[in-house]
Amino acid sequence: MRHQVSVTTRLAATLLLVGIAAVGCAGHGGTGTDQSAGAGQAQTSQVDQMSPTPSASPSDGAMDSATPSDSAAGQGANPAATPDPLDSQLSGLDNLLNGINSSISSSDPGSAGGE
Amino acid sequence: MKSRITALVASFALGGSLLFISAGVATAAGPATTGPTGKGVCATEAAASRSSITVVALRAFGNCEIDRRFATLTTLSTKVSSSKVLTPSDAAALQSEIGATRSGLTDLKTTIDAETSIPALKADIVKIATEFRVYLLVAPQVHLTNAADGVLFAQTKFATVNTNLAARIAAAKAAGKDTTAAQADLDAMNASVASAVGLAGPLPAQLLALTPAQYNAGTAGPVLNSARASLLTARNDLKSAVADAKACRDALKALK
Repeated sequence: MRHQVSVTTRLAATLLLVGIAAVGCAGHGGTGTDQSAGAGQAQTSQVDQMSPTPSASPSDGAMDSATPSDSAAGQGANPAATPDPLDSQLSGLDNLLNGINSSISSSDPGSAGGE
Repeated sequence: MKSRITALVASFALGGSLLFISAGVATAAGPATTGPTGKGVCATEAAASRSSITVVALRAFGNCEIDRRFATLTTLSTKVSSSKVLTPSDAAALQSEIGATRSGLTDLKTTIDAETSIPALKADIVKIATEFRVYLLVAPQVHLTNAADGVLFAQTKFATVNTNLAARIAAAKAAGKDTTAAQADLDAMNASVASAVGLAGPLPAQLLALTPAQYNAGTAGPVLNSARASLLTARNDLKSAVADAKACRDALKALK
């Protein structure tokens, strides 16, 4: 019984250390995802997937971020699921289309700032 | 019991840290700022120049209008330099046009600053729009050329998707599967891409050749409108192509 308690306590202490390390990484601007342990893996993969989104968010500059979204950024993001490269290629094309759309909209005479 | 409490604390610490990371990533990118380029930027100077037609008021209005065009040209130049889809030659042509426009406006500003005649000042102020057409010509040239090159850039990306899907179709076929539907989707994708590229291909050369004089003569406007219409069709073609590619992928998955 004592032995079981000791093992559980050690496990809990390890988890606490991992948590503290993750907070430390966040404080330094790192994602800490490379060091993610099994328990947090599903959640850290979400963090990785969020990372490209803010950089692609300015709609007028969507084509500025075409390369990152087309690149392997999405392919290496989730080591657990081994994503299909085709999915990231299609996702990159969706982003590229948004950029084309934004450029066409910006060229509209109605959006012009004058003559 | 003690160990359960410890484990609970540990899991809260881990979960909290992940939430903290997520929040940090989500708030990392702030909204983009834009320069004083809007129509209303010179409203005060415009009103002042209308209420008391003086050299000072007209000059202030002219300089304000020139300054906001400078801001717009800076934004356009940044867009060109940061674009990943513009070809180097199109980007260079656009930067050259932006530079020439900025240079011309700088000269006009010098003229306006030295002008003491009200009629001459009025004529100079009209030139800010008519001789440069920053908003009606230069800006659309940048945006439409970027869009056209974006369509052409997409062609290379679709070529990769085509290679990928064609290989999967071949593998499925070799395994004795019926790939008729998947092949039809892939053919439709390629047809749509070809249509989009056919529409967008000639546009950069047509757009880059336009001048303010042509705009004033009424010949540039129709070219811009036609280019815009072609690009809207090309964009719809590419949308269909993406949908076809996804349908092909899904059809292949269904065969497994």
